[in-house]
Amino acid sequence: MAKKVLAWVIVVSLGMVLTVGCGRREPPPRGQQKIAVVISTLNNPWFVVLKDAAKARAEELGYKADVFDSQNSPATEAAHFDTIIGGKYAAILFNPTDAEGSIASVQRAKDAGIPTFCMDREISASDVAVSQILSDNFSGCVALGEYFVRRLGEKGNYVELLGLLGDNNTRNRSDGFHSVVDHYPGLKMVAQQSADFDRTKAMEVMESILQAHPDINAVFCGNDAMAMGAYRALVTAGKDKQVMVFGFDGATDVIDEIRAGRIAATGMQFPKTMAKTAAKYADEYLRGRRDFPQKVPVAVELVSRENIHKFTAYGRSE
Amino acid sequence: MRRNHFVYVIVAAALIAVLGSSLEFRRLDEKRAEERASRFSPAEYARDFWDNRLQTALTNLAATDALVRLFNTDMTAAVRLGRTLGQSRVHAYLLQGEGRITAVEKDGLLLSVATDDPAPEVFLCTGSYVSGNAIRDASGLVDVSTFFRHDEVQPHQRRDQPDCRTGSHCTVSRGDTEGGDERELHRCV
Repeated sequence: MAKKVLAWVIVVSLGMVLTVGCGRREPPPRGQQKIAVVISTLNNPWFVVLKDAAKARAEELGYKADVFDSQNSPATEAAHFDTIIGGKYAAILFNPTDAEGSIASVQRAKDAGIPTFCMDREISASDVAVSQILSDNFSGCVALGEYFVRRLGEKGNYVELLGLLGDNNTRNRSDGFHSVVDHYPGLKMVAQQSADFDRTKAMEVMESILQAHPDINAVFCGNDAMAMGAYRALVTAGKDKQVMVFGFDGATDVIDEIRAGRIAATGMQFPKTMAKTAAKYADEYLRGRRDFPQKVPVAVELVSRENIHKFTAYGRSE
Repeated sequence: MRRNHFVYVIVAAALIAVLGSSLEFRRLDEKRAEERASRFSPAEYARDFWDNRLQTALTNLAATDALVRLFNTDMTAAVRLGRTLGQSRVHAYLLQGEGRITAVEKDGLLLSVATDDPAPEVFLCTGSYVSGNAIRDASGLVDVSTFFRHDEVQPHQRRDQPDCRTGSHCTVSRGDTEGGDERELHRCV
């Protein structure tokens, strides 16, 4: 009888030791931990810079970093999250495809114990991602709007090309711009269309708009890819000298065109700053920090012919 | 037959009890009024910020002339006194002081605030429309994390909102990229 009791005690004790041992399982060393870098699209050079900076910083911090391209498709993005959750990644550096549609994926990662850090684009929820590091798009476009008003002398006809309609950045940029420009009755918006942040589509849309409105003075575009597309359409129509083009991003080709005096201005975002901050936050989270700000706005700076010498593509010259 | 009716009555009563407890009938206009009341109102937020919350920040203002001198002698200390929202190179300050108007331009006034230097150091924006987020950033009273969406924290100034031109205080933000020019003035709104 005593032997039987002893045997039970040993079995139960072993079970408890195993259970407690499993609960306290140490995470793998950082060199073996994986961080997923999920990017909305790699067709746009701006996002390639964001991806490269996030991956490089995560690797510098001692993690293995894998990149996932969502190709602007929420379905592809959701499938990536399945892979990431199944692959036991330690954290996700995330550039969402859709402010609303991406929430469910981030929630699934959270439920699986994987923290997500949004970069550049936000999701419309404040308690799912650990932190969201975002360009201050509204303020950046206030500055662009003020410059736009000055360059046009407070009067003229203009066109606005919007980005992806499901992306909050599209609205923030447009709202910031209009919060200034709409106060000047001499400035008339003759057309406003989406070109999905895409250069080719922007060129097609602009060609079509020019047929109906040949007498415009300026084009405000929600990103630099569309600014380049619109500029190409204006060159083809022979109107590039009379129409001012304004972009947003600080991409290589637009910075070059501002320097050459062919594009009026852009709003410089800092993708490397956002990506590095996200990677740093992920590392700190994995080391135990929990008090992260939900939103971290990163200032956008106006780049024009007056201060172009201080800037290079995707950042400042210094 | 009577037994079947009895069963139907009991089943119907059970269904009514179950469905009845999960349904609620209310007047549509009451429901809409409730939704309106709970919805975020940028205009009300801005009004409350201006009338109530901002007043608390106006009790501890930096002296404009002292800050301008600090910009010229110890930029690190001057930057430390300012506030930024998130990650930014632009620093914002809540200031008070007196100055001499040296010129009147279309969009504002050039002011000299340092008594030992007649050259203007400050540009006070008084254009037909004063835009920007200097007050949001300088007061330190707005936490963007408390907002559901990023754009909700950006209440833009409307024509019918109070104009800081009439106040005795001004907000200064300093940064060479503001407005895109190289003006070495401190921009007040």
